[in-house]
Order: sequence, then C-alpha cells, then structure tokens
Amino acid sequence: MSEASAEATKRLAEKLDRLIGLTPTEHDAITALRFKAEVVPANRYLVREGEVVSRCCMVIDGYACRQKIERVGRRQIVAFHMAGDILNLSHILLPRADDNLQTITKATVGWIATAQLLALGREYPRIAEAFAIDLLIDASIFREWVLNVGRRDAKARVAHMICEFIARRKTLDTSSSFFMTLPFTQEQIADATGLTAVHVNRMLRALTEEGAFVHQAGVLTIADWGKLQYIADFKPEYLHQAA
Amino acid sequence: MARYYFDLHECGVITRDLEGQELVDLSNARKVAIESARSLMSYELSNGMLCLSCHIDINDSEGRRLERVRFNDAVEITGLR
Repeated sequence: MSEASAEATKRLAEKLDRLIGLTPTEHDAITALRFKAEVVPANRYLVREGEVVSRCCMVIDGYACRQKIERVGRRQIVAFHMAGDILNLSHILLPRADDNLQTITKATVGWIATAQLLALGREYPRIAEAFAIDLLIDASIFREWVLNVGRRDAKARVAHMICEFIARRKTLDTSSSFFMTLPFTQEQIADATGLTAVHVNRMLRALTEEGAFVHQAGVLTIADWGKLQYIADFKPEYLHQAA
Repeated sequence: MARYYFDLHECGVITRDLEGQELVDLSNARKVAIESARSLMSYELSNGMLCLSCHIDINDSEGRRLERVRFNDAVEITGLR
C-alpha cells in the first residue's frame, strides 16, 4: 500500500471520527480503503463542470478549491479545501459535476471510486451519516460565503476568509497556533471574495495597519486574533465540527 | 505572458504589489488596473467618499513603470456642476 494512500485513509478516519466518533469496525473499514495517489501542480483542474464523475478526490496534502466561472471567464471560488477533505462527496449521488475542482497549491490528492464509497455507506449507515454531516457542513459554509460576498464590505470579506482558513487549519494542526503560512495568492483571495487582487492587497494593508495581523512574505502572524474576528464578523459556529 | 505589478497610490500613500499577476500583455494589464480602480472607487463610494486623484502604476518585474492608470480616467463622470 502506498504511503499516500495510508495517509488518505488516516486523514479520512480522523475526520469521520471527529464527526460521529467511529467504532473500531468502522475505523477498520475506512483504513481498508485504497486511494490512488497523484501529485498535482498548482492551479490544475481536477474535475470540470459538466463531466460525469466516477471518482471522489481527497486532498492529502496542499490546498484545493471548488469554483465556478461566469460567461466572460471570471472565476468565483466557492470553497477552499485542505488535507482530509473529500472535495466532491456529492458526486457519489449526483455524478454530473456542477462546478470545477482545482488545486490552489501543488497538492497530493487521492482518488477513489464513488461506487466504493457508496458501498461503504450502504454497509455502514453511520459512515453514510458522517458523509451527510460533512455535506451539511459544506452547505453551512456556502451560506456563510453568500453572506460574505453579498453583504460584507471588502475588508471584512478578506478578514473573514482568513479567519475561516485559520479556524479550519487549527483542527488539522493545533500546534501551529497563530503562525500561519497563507497558501493563497492575492488573486486567489480576490476570486474567493469577489474583489480584485489590488483591492485585496489594499485590504491586507488596512488589516495590518489596524493591528489585526502582520503579513510578511506569505507568513501570516496574528497580532490580535480577537480584533481580526471582530472586523471579520467571524462566528465559528457555522463551521460546526469542521473547526 | 509576463508578470505585471500594480502599485496603488492614494494621495501619497503607496500600497506596493510584491506578488504581481501573470498576464498576456500590457493591454491586458491596463484592463486589470482599470477594473481595480473602479472596484476601489466603488468601495470608497459605499463609505460615502471618493478620491479621483489616486492612481495605479503598472510596473514590470524590474520595477520600471510601464503605465499609470488614473482613477479619474477610469470613469466617465457626469452631473458635476
């Protein structure tokens, strides 16, 4: 078994355990899964809108996103995903892709047949329940993003996106406290917040000037986590067990 | 493709672009600068302010200025008396 596949099942088991608390049998069923690992460069498409999808894609290392593109080619990132996330659980039941999956950074991903996860869910109803919870949390995050891009001002949008990233990263690695490497380019933040890269750069400066954080050479240091959350209007409850 | 850098000048305060954007050519970079200027002005307007004397400098990777896009030139203004 490849190391990456083992890492994928470990991450998946950790995540589902966080969601429902796995029994040893359920845990074993997950660790018995085999993922086909692939190293993918940054900004590469994993799934395109319209395709009929037969494989689920898990992020093992690095970052990916779900996005949609409007007629003239402008991209709206609708969700970020990180290690342990299956990008497209929905394709188990709705195989035609209604959005694009793309890497943000160079990433290691693991592929597994949707049919295999469907069978797993049918054999272990609590695992199916965990998948459903994961999708419901995704939906909750989407609702928060609609509020973010629809109603919040530019500074709050950027701050909120960063708060969410930090809150979700912390569940992966609690030791990294408040020194974070921000994996996003300004263009990617812009596409996630409905702004332009120049505007994002300006807002990052505003947040730095207000003392919320220090942003230098991609390393994000939170100077005042409370202030950043206040500016962002960030209330982590919408992340449920994802935070 | 080339990398273009968009430095924002707001009444003497400069926000340097250290990252840049990979774009087809300068004409494309100009479009990006105009779109950015309009987006920034919209944000200012939503806070009840507007400064038309700001500008965005488009620079190459060596820091040479290729073009300046003035906020004033990025919008058509009517109704002023």
